[in-house]
Amino acid sequence: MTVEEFWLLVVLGAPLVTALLLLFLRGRLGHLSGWVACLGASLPLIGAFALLPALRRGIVPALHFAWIPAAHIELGLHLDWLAFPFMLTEAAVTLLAILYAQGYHRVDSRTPYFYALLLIFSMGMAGTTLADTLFLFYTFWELMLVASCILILIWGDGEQRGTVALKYFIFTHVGSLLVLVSFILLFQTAGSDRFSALEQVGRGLSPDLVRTLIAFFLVGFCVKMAIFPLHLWLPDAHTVAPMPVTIMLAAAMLSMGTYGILRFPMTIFPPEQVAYFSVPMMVVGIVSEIYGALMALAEDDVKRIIAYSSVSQMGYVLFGLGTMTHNGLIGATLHVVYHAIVKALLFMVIGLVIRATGKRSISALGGLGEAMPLTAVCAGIGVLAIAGAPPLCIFDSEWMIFAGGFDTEHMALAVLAVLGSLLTVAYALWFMARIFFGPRPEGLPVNRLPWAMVVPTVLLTVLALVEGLFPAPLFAWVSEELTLILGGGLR
Amino acid sequence: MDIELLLGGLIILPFLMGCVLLVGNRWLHAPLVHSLTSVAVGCAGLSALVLLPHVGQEVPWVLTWLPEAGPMSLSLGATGLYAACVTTWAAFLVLTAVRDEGVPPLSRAILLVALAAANVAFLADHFLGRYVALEIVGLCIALAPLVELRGTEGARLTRIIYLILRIGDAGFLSGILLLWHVGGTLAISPALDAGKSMEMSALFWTVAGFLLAVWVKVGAWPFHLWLYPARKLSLPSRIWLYGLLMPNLGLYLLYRVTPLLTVSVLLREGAFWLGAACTGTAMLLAVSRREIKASLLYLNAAQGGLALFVAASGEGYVVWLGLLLMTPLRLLLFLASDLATGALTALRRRLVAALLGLGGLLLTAWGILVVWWMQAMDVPLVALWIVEIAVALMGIWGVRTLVQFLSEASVPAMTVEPARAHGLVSYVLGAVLLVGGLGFRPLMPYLVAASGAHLPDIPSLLTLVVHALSSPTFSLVSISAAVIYGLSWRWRFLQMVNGEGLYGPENSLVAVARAVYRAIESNLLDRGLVGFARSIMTSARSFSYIESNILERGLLGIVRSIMASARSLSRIVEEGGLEGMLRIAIRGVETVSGILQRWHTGRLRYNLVWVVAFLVLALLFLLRGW
Repeated sequence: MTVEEFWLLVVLGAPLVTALLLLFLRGRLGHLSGWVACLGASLPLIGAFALLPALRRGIVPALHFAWIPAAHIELGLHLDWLAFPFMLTEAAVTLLAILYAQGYHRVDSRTPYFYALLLIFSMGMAGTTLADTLFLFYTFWELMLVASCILILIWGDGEQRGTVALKYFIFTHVGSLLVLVSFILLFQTAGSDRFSALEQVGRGLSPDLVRTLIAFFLVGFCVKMAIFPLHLWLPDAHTVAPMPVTIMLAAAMLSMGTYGILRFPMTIFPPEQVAYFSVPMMVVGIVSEIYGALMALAEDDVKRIIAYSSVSQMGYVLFGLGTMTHNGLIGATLHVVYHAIVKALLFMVIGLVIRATGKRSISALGGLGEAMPLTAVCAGIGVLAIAGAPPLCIFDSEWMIFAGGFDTEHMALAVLAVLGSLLTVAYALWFMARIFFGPRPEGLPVNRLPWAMVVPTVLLTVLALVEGLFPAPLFAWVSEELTLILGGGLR
Repeated sequence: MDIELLLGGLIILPFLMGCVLLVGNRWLHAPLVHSLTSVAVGCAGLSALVLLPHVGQEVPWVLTWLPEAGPMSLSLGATGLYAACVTTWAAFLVLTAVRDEGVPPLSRAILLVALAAANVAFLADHFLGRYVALEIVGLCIALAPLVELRGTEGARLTRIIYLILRIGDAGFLSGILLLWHVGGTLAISPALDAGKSMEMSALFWTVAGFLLAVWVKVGAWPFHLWLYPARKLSLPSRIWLYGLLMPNLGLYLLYRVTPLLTVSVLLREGAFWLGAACTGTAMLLAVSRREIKASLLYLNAAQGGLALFVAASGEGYVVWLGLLLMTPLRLLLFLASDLATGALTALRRRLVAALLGLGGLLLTAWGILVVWWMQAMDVPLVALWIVEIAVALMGIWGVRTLVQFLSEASVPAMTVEPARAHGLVSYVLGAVLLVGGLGFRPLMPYLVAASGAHLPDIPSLLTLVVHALSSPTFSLVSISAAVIYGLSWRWRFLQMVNGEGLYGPENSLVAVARAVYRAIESNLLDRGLVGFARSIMTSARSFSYIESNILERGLLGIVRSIMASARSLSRIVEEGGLEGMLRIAIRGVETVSGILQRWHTGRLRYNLVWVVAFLVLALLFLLRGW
């Protein structure tokens, strides 16, 4: 076994082993279960960075096992430049979310299960990005759904959690089924479920079938991205889920949809066939961007405001993907990473506010800036970042996405996307002003916050600033993916 | 001296000092903060001055931030450096004029960061660098009310100001990205050169984006709303941050994009008309407002309109010259207007009135010079007349303000006595401007030689006076104004005479007055003039009405309607529509499943019916097949 293969197994195996350990030693670990989970979540992140030198040398770490030889089904893992940013984001978000959970989650007898499920959820996402075969991809794709659904069902807030979990499951599963149909069709044609085999087959299919498959893939993955009007699961799921799960859903799981679009329709099929969907993707992206922002303005629940913000932000991503240009695709991928940082930050801030005050309605909050200055600073930076203010990170990705828009023939759409971003500024500032400025409602308590919740929040704030100021390394990594998608013609 | 050191003094020193104040704001005393700020700004000003001989030299600072956008650098172009120099010195003068007002140290930190960012914006040779710098300045401007006013109002104002400024930035961003798409570079000069060969539609979007950015930044109608809250802020924020800095950046941006305006005849014509209309409207509004600070706001907007009018002619250097000359002039007007509200003694009041009058006179002189230059260009005649009327109104504004402040009755209530330095800076600045105004023609060749600017021929003062006197538009407006003022004096006199009912020796005077009054009454020309004047004033007031009622309320209404539509959309789509449809679909499926399930597993007779039905269907199928 080579070093790269070892780290590949660590990325995927460490969460699983840790989860099993937590389940096995559940009675004995007690308060330590969170820290054990942290350790388990930190290994994939270390693994991601350990694999980076190999990628830079042009090596694609891979691992294949024959599983059902008669049916030509393999279990294959690999890490290429397309998967790397997503895997890194997922690993980092998981670690921070579990760290945050130390302060958020009240320890009881079920705590080891909570952390074990978080790790399995994380393994689902890691497996989705590392999979090199359709079978494995779909297995991990469904694993992350099942794990997150159980987390919502058991640890969710309120009486409605069962209904919400069901709704979340049905919606995302319908999307998954569309993806599954496409997978089966491709598998039948190719006779193998390896991604490399699909690329050759994709170019030989009839145009009508290719368009149908692309449409299925896009709809299926757009459900996961929570693009309007397929987003209905997201506000409820994000609101009801416990905060660490919300963070992982919003910051990491949404990005899996983008990864799916880049990995399948944009990699397998001929660029001219994918280009057929360019304008619809841009239009739907803009609609989602504007609609999500409007809904965020209309909401009263702080968690729902940021949840709708995700709908809006994923609209930017879809717009960037739809441009099918060098700048647009780099921008979309960067936006996924930066959105993860900022969205995790904003949800952590909300968690701090809810923990301190016990309130979730924005109309019941106000004037917290003086009582929670550090949280206010973190929120301010998060809000400015989501509003696309330079030199914070989302500015960089928005710049590239809009530049991609202007690189197409549809300048009016690009102008619309730029103007639509003003609504993002509006809801972001409104959110900040309502919570942290103005008079503080009488009797609004401000309780002490645990450091385990504050530290990851501050870390993400610093990261939003640092990534904004020094985006070059991530740019370099992300631009490498262009050799793999749309025939490599955009590099 | 080393260029890097000087650039450090111009940009890095204010930025670092701003950061120091930002971090140490809780521990530093206000006087110390004020001194530190003044020293940092003074050093920046000196650095700018010492940098002037280095015009054209290469700056060794190159930064690659977004790899796809290419390396960013600064350039020591004459126009940018002079603009930075003037703006920085304006900041220093404002800080010298003001005493410590007890404003939060954060306010000074914002001022310093804004100064550093503005100097980057003036010197940036790369569109991305300029955009980021302008965004930071915009953010600083928006944060000023939050820091100084605090509370709900501060947060509300910050939100509104930032949102309005971002509208301009959205336009700027669109323009930049289109140029990048066409030229493949974000370096300003090559990108603008490439822009000249753009397709018409792309050029239209680009210029529209840039004009939107300029429009917002100079605070032209209807985007001047972001300037309103400035009245509640401390003097440096009010005068420099709001009154000078952002409009200067807007004017400088206009100067840089002037070459694109002249590429298309259609765009050029549009810019002429837009500029003329903005100048005319803003001046009407300025004249109709009696409150000096409000009228200064419109005067600023009028300068923006005038600059756009000039830019449409392709004379970019005139726009730049306007920025250089108008900065101290506007500073004088702002400082004097502040002095006016606190003037205690009659002597001071007269001095302040003289300063305001001088400001109005110099503004008018600049306007006449611009019109004189524009006459030689291919300018639409009616647009030029509108600008001439606006320039004449500037003169009227100056005279009216002078009279207003000379008259004891119209002096506003005293608020706080200004600092002695405030008066001193204002008087010295006034004297310098007077000397500069008189020596404008001999001084200009030096400026042209030092900056390398290509300016049109400078006429003599006498030529300008003759031009103003011989211009029918100037004469008409001036005579109308004189007649209106004269009539108003006479009416006031007659009202006094009639109302008090004088007797004795004065009766003869009353009789004469009545005779004159009757003559005026029967004089159609006078009545017509009065009617005309009233209609102008009414229309100006109606603009004010539009301004204060329809526009602001309209904006409020738009915001409310957006919020209401968002809420109803949420209700219809989120709660009712999509989910409702989904619910109906699920209920439908449940109902059908229920029926099918009952038929399958319910009573025996249903099952038998089901079996029989299937058997019949199978039989039919078989028979048909057979």
